[in-house]
Amino acid sequence: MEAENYLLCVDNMKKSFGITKALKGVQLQLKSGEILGLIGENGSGKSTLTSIIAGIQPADSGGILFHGEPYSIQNSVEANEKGICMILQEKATFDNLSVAHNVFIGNEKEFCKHGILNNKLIFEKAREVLKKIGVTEIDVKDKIKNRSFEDGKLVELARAANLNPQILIVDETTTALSQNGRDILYTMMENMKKEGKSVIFISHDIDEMMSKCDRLSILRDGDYIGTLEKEEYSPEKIKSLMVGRTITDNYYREDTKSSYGDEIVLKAENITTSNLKDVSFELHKGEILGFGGLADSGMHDIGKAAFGAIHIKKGKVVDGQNEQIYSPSVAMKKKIAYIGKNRDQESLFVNSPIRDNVALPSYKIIAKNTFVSPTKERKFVEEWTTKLDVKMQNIDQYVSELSGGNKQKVAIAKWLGFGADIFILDCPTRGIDIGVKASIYKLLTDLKNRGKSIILISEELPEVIGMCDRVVVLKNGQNSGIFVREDDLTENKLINYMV
Amino acid sequence: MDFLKKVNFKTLFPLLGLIGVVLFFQIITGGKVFQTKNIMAVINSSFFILIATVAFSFIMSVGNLDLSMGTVMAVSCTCAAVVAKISPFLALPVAILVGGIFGAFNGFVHADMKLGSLIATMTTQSIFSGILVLILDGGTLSAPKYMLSWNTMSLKITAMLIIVLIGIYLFNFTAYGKQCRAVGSCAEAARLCGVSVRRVKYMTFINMGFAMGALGFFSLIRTGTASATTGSDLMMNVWCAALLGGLPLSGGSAAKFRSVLIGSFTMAFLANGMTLMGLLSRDKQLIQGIVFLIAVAISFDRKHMVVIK
Ligand SMILES: Nc1ncnc2c1ncn2[C@@H]1O[C@H](COP(=O)(O)OP(=O)(O)OP(=O)(O)O)[C@@H](O)[C@H]1O
Ligand SMILES: [Mg+2]
Repeated sequence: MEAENYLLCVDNMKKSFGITKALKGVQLQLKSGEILGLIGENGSGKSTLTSIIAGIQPADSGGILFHGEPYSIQNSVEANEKGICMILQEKATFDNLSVAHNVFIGNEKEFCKHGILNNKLIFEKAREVLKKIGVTEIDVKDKIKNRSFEDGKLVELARAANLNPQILIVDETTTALSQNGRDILYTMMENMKKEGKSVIFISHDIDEMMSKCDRLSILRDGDYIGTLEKEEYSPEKIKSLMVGRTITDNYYREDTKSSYGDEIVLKAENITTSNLKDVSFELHKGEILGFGGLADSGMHDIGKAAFGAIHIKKGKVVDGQNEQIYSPSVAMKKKIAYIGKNRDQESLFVNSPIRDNVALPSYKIIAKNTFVSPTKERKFVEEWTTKLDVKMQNIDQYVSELSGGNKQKVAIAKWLGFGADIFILDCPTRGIDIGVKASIYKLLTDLKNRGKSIILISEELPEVIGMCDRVVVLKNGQNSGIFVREDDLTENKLINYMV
Repeated sequence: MDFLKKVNFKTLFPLLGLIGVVLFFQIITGGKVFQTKNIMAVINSSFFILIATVAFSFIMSVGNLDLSMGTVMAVSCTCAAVVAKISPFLALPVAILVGGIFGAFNGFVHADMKLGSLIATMTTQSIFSGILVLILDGGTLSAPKYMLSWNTMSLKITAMLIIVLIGIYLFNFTAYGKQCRAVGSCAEAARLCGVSVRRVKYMTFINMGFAMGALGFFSLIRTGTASATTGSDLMMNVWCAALLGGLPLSGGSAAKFRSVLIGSFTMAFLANGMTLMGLLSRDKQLIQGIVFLIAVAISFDRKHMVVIK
């Protein structure tokens, strides 16, 4: 096929950030009416490449042909006008604006008359757009900051749907969505394909990529490795092309029986929060306790409540000594660690160096009589960033400059360094590539074997089933079933209790 | 060339500003700036600004501001004058204690009553000056004469060194200093890292109060009196110093301690230079206003500014 026959054609694109070569001459071809997968390890350049296409940043060199013609744009607004739209890996909604205003951000003109914004119309139209993509539960008048991270992503989807683009780029969004959110995204992608439009889809989930994408382009360390046609798909092949060597298949825990101590280390007694109703659970020493559910199940509140980070209306969370946990600093004194889902707002200081991020919870360990020695701090941070294989220039690099998956690794490194006895992990492998995922699962297993306890909250059912001793399924903020680890625990079984 | 790429010129601005100011006055006054006598005068005029800016830098790294500092200093100075009548040796401890209490009140209004720092300290400033007027009862208070003899260069240089060293230590080498910047970067993330945001905020205001207390004492031994105008020009100078030095209004990890030193000395050389040029105080006021405007203009990172606190 000649270049003119492709809808979008990227040739020899290069981009460097200081000494980091993010793209070293990459090519990419996108046909009309196809879903093209883009896969590669963390920091391989996926977001960089796609954000250049979407006009968010300029390339150093290299050309793009769109409809067979040279395509040059200054910013993302121009890209939108030309019909290219991107859902970012990071949060891209405005906290203090309503859902509706977020949907139409940048397009308020349509609702203006004599310079006055017709809010009623905006709300009405927003409801329409949301409904069209299948979202009905979100109140369009709500401020974004009162909505969950997932809702924010759905609002971004609606924003894109409203622009009706020729090319939609979806960067690592599925891991932010629960089952029903994912279905909304998939339907939207399928519909675009039917209309002859195209999607560039980025995810680290190989099964998902194989089932959704018509072709699969692979990047490794800023290099273009190749593109697979659907007939050529196999997990082994994709993995080995991604990492440049073969890696073993099974990365979850190997034993299939649940095992944990008798001692209870954490107990929630009838807790009620704005999203939970009367939920109780017990966490044992050496146990991995999983939580699963749909978007509105309130499962993300479990982690926050157990860490004392949100207001509990009724009931309480206590540790093994029956002492109440009512604030994060109390929780930390009891050696509890918490990695939240909303990475950029809650888990990380993106505008600070990696060093400050990793060391912050652990100054008590690093300091000697209040003195925090810079060398000791550096050693500490380097130890943990190396263990998690964070791809960075050095520890003084700003977190905002890291790729999505590497940011997540920093968040995990921070709490592993803290050395807690109880880890509360909310979607810990969000946006992390398979190689590192495997090492995180191994780490969790090690922690468990050393008698640490883990609460694992995740949208990924295979992960929950693969790792946990017991799984609690939540539905509408209530406990709807508890499952013990066994051979024949399947996703379907859990899903039955979710909906 | 790689080296050049690494240097961020924006971070060099403040230092270039300081060098520029010094060179400007050195040329205009025909070399008077670097005479020993004048250097002493510069140190003298940097004394108050420097100590206050050291404490203020912590408040700024949290992303807060303080409008009440001059008044806290005046109240401390007045209380020092009152107890000096009983025993002059009580003056310093009492001044520092009073400053700390008023600072804690700032912390209470900001962190517990949950008012933004600007509004909080505006309110407290007005309360504090009310208290000041009550104590002074419309007049001034004077200290025993011989206390003036305490006001020596060596004492001041020692005090400055001690406070700067404590500042550097707290700022760069303790969890407290780092937590301040963490709160300034993102208070919610800091809270979820176990940082007691409330405590950190209290601490910054209490420490500011301590510093103001100490300065109240030094003001007393310098002028021998406490009056309603004590410390009235302090705040403007300190804000100027902080901004000229490059402390970001938004707080966070961009705050560096060197800004405190650079900013304070820029202000000191500026004031000193204007005196050398023989400017009248009303002209100085105008020029200082302009300097403040410039300081704010260059320090506002408009690209990244979302809201103005
Ligand atoms: N603004 C920036 N400044 C410096 N380096 C950057 C910047 N943006 C990206 N990089 C670097 O470029 C490389 C590629 O990053 P990119 O975000 O494209 O990776 P990715 O493939 O999207 O990874 P992930 O799967 O983790 O999201 C990384 O090494 C990253 O650290
Ligand atoms: Mg990415």
